[in-house]
Amino acid sequence: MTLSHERTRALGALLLVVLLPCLVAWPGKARAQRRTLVVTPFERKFKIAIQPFVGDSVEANATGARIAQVVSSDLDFTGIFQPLNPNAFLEDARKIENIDFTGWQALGAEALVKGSVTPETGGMISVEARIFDVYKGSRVVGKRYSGPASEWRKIAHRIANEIFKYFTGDDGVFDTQITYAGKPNRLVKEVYVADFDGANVVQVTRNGSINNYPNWSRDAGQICFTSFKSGRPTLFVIGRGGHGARSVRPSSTILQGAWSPMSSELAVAGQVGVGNSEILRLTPDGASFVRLTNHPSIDTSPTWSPDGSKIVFVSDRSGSPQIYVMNADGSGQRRISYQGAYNVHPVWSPKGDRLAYAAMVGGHFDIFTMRPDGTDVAQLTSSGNNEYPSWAPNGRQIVFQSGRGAGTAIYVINANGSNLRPIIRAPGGATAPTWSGHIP
Amino acid sequence: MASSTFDSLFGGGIDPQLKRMVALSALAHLVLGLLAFLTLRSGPLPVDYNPAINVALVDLPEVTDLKDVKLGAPKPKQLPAPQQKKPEVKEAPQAKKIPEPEKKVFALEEQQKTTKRATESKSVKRENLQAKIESAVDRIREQQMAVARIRNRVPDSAMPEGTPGGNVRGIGALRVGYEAQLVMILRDMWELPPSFLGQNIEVVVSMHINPQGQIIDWSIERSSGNPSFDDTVYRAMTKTQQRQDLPVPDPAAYQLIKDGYEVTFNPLTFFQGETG
Repeated sequence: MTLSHERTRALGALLLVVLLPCLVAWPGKARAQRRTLVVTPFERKFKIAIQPFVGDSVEANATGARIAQVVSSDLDFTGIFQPLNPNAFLEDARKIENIDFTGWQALGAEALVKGSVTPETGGMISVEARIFDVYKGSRVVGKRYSGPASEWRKIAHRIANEIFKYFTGDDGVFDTQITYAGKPNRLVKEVYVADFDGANVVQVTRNGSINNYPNWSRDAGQICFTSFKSGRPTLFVIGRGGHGARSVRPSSTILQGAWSPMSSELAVAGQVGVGNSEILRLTPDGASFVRLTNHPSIDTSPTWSPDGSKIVFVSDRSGSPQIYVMNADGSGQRRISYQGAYNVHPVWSPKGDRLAYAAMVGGHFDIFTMRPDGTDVAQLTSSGNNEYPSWAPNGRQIVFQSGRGAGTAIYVINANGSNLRPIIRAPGGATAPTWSGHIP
Repeated sequence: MASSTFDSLFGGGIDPQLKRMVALSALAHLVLGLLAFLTLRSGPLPVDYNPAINVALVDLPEVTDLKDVKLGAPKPKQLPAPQQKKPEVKEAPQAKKIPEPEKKVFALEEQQKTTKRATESKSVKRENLQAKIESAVDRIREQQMAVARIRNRVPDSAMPEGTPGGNVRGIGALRVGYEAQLVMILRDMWELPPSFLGQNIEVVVSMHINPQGQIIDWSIERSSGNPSFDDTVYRAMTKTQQRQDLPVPDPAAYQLIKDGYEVTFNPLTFFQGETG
């Protein structure tokens, strides 16, 4: 009994000896305290190396070089990427295995693009594109595109979209177009369509009249515009390729129209009877309309919110042109712009978080953005005369008309005010651009 | 005696208690008058408003401290050593190179030194100017350091000197200086497509450093949910880990950081740079 008791005590002492260090060490472990660091970035472009795409023939190599060039200029256009100078590339463009990633790291590249072009039968080509993460040391995207050889440029835009999407998580705009009113001569204004970067200009109307304010349909398959072909302003709709033009409501004077992003309806500024300009909602065939505003002042420039629930417009009911918003049924009209005496051409961003508009500052117009409630006003341009903004479908850039120096041209600027660049010029000037959605 | 004087002035028959009180009052007035006389004769303490250098130092205590730690070059000329007198001045411990409040006292008390300091001020200004030019990059670093510290939300000044999160003197200063360099390198290595700028998304990385300053291990502890953004942090960390020129923490400061770091990458605020 006594022995057992002593044994128990001995065992207890042993346990104490074993456990004590653990108990002593435990609080020390608990005291382990990691420190916190917060890293905020520099604003700078993302460096990417794009090697010329290669082929087995001179022609394929030439096409490959052109594709790489277009991909490079597409990415450069965004102001987000910085394609590196190909002259600095040492690695064989054909090498797609055992790539020397440390060499690319030394060049400052974060990503690497390699590709190949293979001619197929029937005038088709097959283009393979491989995107590598230089620091992961692996291929992150690999795609093969096939199509008519003449569509090599479109394939290049698709590849650029793929790169943009992978590294930013956002959709690119390289499969979009811009429509605008251009003046081939002093007396005529026609509707044109160009790629997002101003390339591939196509004339859409050819009626020798004044055609203005073109605007894309939701699927980018049609364009509505105001034409003076009949002597007074009426609304027309035409296919993107310039086919199937028709007047929506020939008997009505319609100054400007905008497609709903959710349906085929149009919001237009037009005259009802002999009255002044009001905002109307028009059925796609123009057969009937709903009057949304009814005010002795001028109401004009309607555009939709991205969800189609609201319409923003300009009215001088307060004495000077200001921006107003209302529900799509005309209810809840209220003024939202209070900064500046002359605010016009409002357009809602695709994400719905901001409005772009033109405001008169010191006798000329500049492009501004603000929240839909009228707060947080930001000025994007400060020189020239800048009007008619329109958002890129990813909301990262804004296209607008700008009079700087000789004539009016189409410019693009990033939504934060950086990366301003002209994209379209026309002999007599180019005005009122609108950016399309993604074109299938 | 006082009583008889009193009697002679006001006549007899006065209450003796009243007499005592009047006498005490007269005595108190006499003492106060004497004190006032002595004080006024010595005049007020001279006040020196001249040396602007003191103001500059008071304005930027942290920056100066951090610079001292980083460059290892104290600025004795900004606080000229008094010439072996005044015990108040000797109180300043030598480790504290820039005790601002003491300097104010020093300026108040050492009026005669101001003229000497004025002659020195030209050379001091010249040195300051030179230092400004030479340390343009350092100042940017210090600003970034300050921003990082604010964002850390660590109550630095509330903790004792030399402790983790303590003020910026001693070991704490070594640690802060080291972390500022580390954050600067991480920022430099972080190539973020500008499309992410201004977004409140973040990746949290767990990271350990060895005494030689190398990153011995790191892992993404909390993803942003956006693979493209996570990848930017992955690349930044990989690049940083590969570098052979990472700063080496002071051995004493290393004890404060040996448990590792939680590094948050967040582009909500950013340093405007080359874009545009």
